Amino acid sequence: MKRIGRYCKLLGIFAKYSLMSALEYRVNFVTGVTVEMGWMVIKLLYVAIVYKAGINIGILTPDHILLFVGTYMLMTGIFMMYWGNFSSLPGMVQQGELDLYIVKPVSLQFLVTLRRLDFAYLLPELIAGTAMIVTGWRLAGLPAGAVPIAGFLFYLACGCLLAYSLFLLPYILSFWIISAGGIADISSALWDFNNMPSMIYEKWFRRIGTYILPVFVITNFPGLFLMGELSPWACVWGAAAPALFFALSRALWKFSLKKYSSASS
Amino acid sequence: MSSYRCVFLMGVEQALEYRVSFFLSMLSAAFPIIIQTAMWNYLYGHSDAAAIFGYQQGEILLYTLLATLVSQLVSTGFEWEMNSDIKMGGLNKYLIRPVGYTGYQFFRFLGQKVPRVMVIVPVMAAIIGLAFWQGMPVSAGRVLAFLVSLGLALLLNFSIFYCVGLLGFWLTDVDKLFGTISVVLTVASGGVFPLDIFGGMVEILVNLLPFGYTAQFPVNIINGRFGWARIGAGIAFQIGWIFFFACLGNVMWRRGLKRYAAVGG
Repeated sequence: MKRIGRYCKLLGIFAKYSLMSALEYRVNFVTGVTVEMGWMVIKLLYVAIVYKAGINIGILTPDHILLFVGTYMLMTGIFMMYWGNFSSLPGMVQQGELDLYIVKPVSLQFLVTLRRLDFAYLLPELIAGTAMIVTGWRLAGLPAGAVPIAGFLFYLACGCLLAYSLFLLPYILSFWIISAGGIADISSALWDFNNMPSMIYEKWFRRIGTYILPVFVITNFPGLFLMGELSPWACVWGAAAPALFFALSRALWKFSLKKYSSASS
Repeated sequence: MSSYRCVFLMGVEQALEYRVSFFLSMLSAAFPIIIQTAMWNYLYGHSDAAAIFGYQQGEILLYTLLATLVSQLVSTGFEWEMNSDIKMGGLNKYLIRPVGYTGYQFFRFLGQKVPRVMVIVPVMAAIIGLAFWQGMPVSAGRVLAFLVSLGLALLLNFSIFYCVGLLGFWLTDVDKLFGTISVVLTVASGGVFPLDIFGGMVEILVNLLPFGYTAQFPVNIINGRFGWARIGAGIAFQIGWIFFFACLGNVMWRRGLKRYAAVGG
């Protein structure tokens, strides 16, 4: 427990320094916001098309879909906040920059993957995503008691841990392959499967995306819980998958680190 | 000319240098196709989407498949290197060599496209063949017009991003700005969705601005939406915009060089 508290404190310090850096380089911060707003436009195009067609997707009305896409946007903002650390990992491995961090008295994975937090990416997605969630929640007439809100937030937190663990896996491959441009492309393409609620896909595809490569768990489960559409088994899986994939990412990280040769440093 | 042939071959070699990364990149291009195909199939299966969006189901599916491939084919990336050359003084070596910087970037860009073309063209041919077999109005004349417009789209996108790269002469930190421009132009080119489904003002803007001529226009030739008069006018627009950006690039290059401090290199 004391260890978790120490790491939370460290994360707070990382956030503080990242925020100070963002405030120091304001133009960089503003251009970061505009990049993310560009990506938001693409996500909103999907919503615009669904509203224009005006139909339900399975049990989801356009208002439910607004809530689902809002959740996806919020999760994207949180993921993008630390994604820069993932994308810089291949360069660090190639150039031997991990040496600087490997000797520090904290977990190397924690330090390397969370040391820089980009609030410019978080801000627009946080504002737009929250607004869409609240609007979709209200328009769809979903329950707003303590239990639904707590459950929604719990599955959001699980989604955050799962996103971190699942999307770190391809970047760990950079210990083996040199150029990682393709890794970034494929992981961002995988993330985009959540552009639309999972119900739009065929059943077999949904099952793969829920149980084998659980990208759909990240942004669909909070909304499905609110709607009372999560089976007891799915409720358990929604909480177990993040723990399972976090353990997998830890194991793979430790295994891969043995491959690190500290070249070029 | 032989020096440009060498630059072209160097581009081919560079593109084949990181093969795993290249194939992961190509694979990631398939993911948005899966998402959008699932969405359109659902919308057309459950509503009168043809009346709402103005595209028949076959047209929109063919659009989804081809627009992603065309976007991959015309995509750039050299603007980042141009910015680095300008900022770090790497431009110096091109200024004293008997090779034009524009020509160097252009032939390397073409060379880097070769492996991509070798993968994309057979897939494209198979899709077009399948569309013909399904009874879509694909003819030899349309395929020829498509290929001409595709070549022009490649030139147009190169000219646009060459001008974007030259912004490095005036702007200090362009990394995130390039990201924004790239995302916005992907949307504006119709690389995500055909923008004319939103009708009215959006359609007029797409027809007038250059961006739709890099993806949406070539694809709408092959899926039979455009008559020959519209195809002729579109090709004239493509040539006109290429001419405009070539002139703009020329002016920017001459003015930019006067500001160039040749620091580093």
